[in-house]
Amino acid sequence: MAWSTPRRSSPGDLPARCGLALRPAHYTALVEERPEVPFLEILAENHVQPGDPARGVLETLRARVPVTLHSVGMSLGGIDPLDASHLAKLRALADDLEPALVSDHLAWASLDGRQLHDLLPLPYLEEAVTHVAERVARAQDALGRRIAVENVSGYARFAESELAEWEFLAEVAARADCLILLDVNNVFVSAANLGFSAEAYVDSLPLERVAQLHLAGHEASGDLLLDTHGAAVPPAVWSLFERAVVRFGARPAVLERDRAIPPLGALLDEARKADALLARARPHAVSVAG
Amino acid sequence: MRCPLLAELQRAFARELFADGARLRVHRETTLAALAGALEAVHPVCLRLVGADFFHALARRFAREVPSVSPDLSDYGTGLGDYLERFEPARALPYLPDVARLEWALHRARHAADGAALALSRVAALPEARRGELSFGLAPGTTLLDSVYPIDRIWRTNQPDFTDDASVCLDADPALLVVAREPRGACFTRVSRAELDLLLGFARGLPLERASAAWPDTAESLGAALARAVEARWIG
Repeated sequence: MAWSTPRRSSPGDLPARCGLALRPAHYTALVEERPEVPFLEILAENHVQPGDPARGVLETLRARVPVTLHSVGMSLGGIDPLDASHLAKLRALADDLEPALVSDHLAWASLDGRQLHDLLPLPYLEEAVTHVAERVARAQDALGRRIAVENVSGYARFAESELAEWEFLAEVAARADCLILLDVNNVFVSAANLGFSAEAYVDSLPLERVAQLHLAGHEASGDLLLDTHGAAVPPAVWSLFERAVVRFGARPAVLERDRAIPPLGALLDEARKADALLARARPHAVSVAG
Repeated sequence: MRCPLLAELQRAFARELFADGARLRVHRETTLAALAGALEAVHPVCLRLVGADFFHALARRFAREVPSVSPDLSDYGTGLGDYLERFEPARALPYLPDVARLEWALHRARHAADGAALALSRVAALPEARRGELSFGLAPGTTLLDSVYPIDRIWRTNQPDFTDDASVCLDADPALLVVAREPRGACFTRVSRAELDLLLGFARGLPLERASAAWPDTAESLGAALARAVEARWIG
């Protein structure tokens, strides 16, 4: 796969530590208190407007720390045509911010022109592997960068699926020659909701493609675990994270929090716990293809 | 489309998503909460006028009926004013649609690109006889509002930090407003009927001569109105 410009920044530019998902609640603390943060993950769709009110904050922070760009809007698993105008906005944002990594999800988010603003599950069909891989490849071309594709939380499964999710993800990544962003909380939530082994998932993904890890907490509602990012990382997710770190080696990780957002200091303490696990891990056993 | 089964399964999923079955409740809630949350964030004054519960119910109904067409949530909510015109439960607040239009216009102004400063020297450089041929467009993020209600005063008296006399006279105080991304930020300004008509003419692509054909005043005041529109970056 070829892209049109050389990448100026790559996953190798990120420290193998735990960064934070940037949220407006922490803009002031990050800008004014200047805490030590290894890197920040920017939610792309919040910043694609031409007059984005937060652009100044992003530029200030970008001058201090590396960033990654996380999208929820490419609908990589969708059947609508890829949204060229949205991809152009993401490209412009990426060219401005020079993120070390751009990512989106193994999911669909729009259908027949209607945006659903959710990361919807795919049926893991052989026919869909080629379809999704081609879309990822075209998105990479449009963005001028290799991207990472993240596993989402599952609440419903398709009886028609022919592959396990991890098989499907690995196959898409191989055919699109993209990277994988492994969200261990999403694996845990999906495994509990859909009845598969979280450990088998982590143990099965290809070493050379997992470029980054995501960490978060979830909440229970009835029979389901909900990926709310609304609580601290629970012990079971820490265990799975540790398993991933042992298997994949020290990789950059991101702590995400979207509800009941605590003060920045509390999140940084939680990220340092991840740092301690990453510091004990062997360095990248297998380098992530650039 | 080489994935007939994938397409069929996604269409079936989407149909079930908006039906009220329990199986996809989590996904339905995520979608509706995202859209309703976007409307609430953009319309704090409407929310305050009708109360949080009422607005929440309104927003969820709007979210079900009006599809989002942009991956960027901040594009969602255009048309809430029109929707409110037909929304029976809000009939008791006839000014609510225009307040929603004002909040939407402010939101667009906040997120618009900065308009390039228009050089008045460009106008001055033209021979006087040809100035009438000049065309101006509205700057990105500029909206013109023509309300029979004092929606600017309703907006101001419903700001969290407003402490003065909050009484509003709904009769005989129409608000003709330019909402724009001015150098000082997104804001709105009351203008005269003549000024609004001039700007509406520009918005329709009319050259200065035709846009100002009904200008009632002296040439100086037309010049002053143009200077004000340029300085505030209403036109570009």
